[in-house]
Amino acid sequence: MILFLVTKNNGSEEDAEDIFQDSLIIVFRKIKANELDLTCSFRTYIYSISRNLWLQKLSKRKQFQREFSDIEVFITMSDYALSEKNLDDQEKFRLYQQHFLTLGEDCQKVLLLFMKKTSLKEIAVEMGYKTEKYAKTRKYLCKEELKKRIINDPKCQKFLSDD
Amino acid sequence: MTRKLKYSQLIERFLAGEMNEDELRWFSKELQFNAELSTELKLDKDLDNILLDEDVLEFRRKLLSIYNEKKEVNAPKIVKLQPRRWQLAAAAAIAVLMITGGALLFTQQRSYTPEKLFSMYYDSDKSIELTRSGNANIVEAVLKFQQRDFQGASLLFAEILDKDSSNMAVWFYNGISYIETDRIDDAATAFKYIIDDKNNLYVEHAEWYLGLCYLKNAQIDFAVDHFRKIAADQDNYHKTEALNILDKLGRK
Repeated sequence: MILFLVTKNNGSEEDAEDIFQDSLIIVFRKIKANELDLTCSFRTYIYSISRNLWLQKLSKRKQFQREFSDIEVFITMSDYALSEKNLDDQEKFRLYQQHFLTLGEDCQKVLLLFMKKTSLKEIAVEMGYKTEKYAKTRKYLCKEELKKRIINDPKCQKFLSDD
Repeated sequence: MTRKLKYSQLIERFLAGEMNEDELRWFSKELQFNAELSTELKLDKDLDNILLDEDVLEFRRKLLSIYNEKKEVNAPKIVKLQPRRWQLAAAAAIAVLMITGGALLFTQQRSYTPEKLFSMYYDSDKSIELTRSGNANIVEAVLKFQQRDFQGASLLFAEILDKDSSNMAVWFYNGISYIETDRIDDAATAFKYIIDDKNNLYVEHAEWYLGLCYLKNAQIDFAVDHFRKIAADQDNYHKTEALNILDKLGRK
């Protein structure tokens, strides 16, 4: 349904995948925050979010649609999750998260443990490192690697300006 | 061209609350005018936010793995065909080429001189994301380093180390400056100092560069021992490069 919506309206399969993922993340966040208030079927809800996201994306790309082909019933939505600012963040975080998920398992684990404020001693034990200092070094190098991948990804460039 | 990070160490210290008052003052001031520093700091903070949201990350991981599975299932299937005569001939030709290529590769393995290997693997830019400290001397030294005035940088680094030998960053940059000015033994001494200290962020890089110093000095046995140690450490940042060097030396 989303694939059809996007490809019918100037988008590619890859766009459709991104839009669908972003829509699911929006719903996931809403469920987590206990803010999901369904007034229609879940199918219509997801379709409406994706439709909204795709329309905004088209408008950003200056690909205005004179006629937008809808294939499903949709509801009008106006909440922060669909605001322009949030959509930019959504895209940025999707790309950053995808880069994170391409790191080695070891790096992913160290960074997550560190963010959970796990002590260096515990990290060293859990990861089998010889010293706490090495745990700190490892965290530094892993984050460095992640940042390098991001700054060298052309898709991320628009998020890497100082504003 | 690959973009590089310049301020990671500085940002790391800032976010970890490890800066002293002078450094903090300098950092805040620099942030107002230095767009690159500001961008790198923003990226760091964004990443921290993402990492804090582990549930979303896990959800994203699952979505990606579903996509990937789906892609694999939908990937076109390879249909086996009976090879024709010309295909057999082509396969034979490719096999011959591969064997010849393999033999060439094998003989070439032995033609890597230590000097050649050193130049293949040494990259002063790759190792360093320079940060400027609040200390005026360090700022000047770092500027010289960035302008590739390694002689000048080295003199200033030595002055700083005379007063405070505990600054491992300065030892490290000094080591690189020594390599650049062909003072390989001095460079090796600087890297050994860092390694012996153990308690710093530069140990892995120092180990790597010490190995390169051995190569540059044609101390092959030392270099091999050293790269073997690096290669044996599963978590070592330079493990793959060390293995590649050993392979090229034919001492894997």
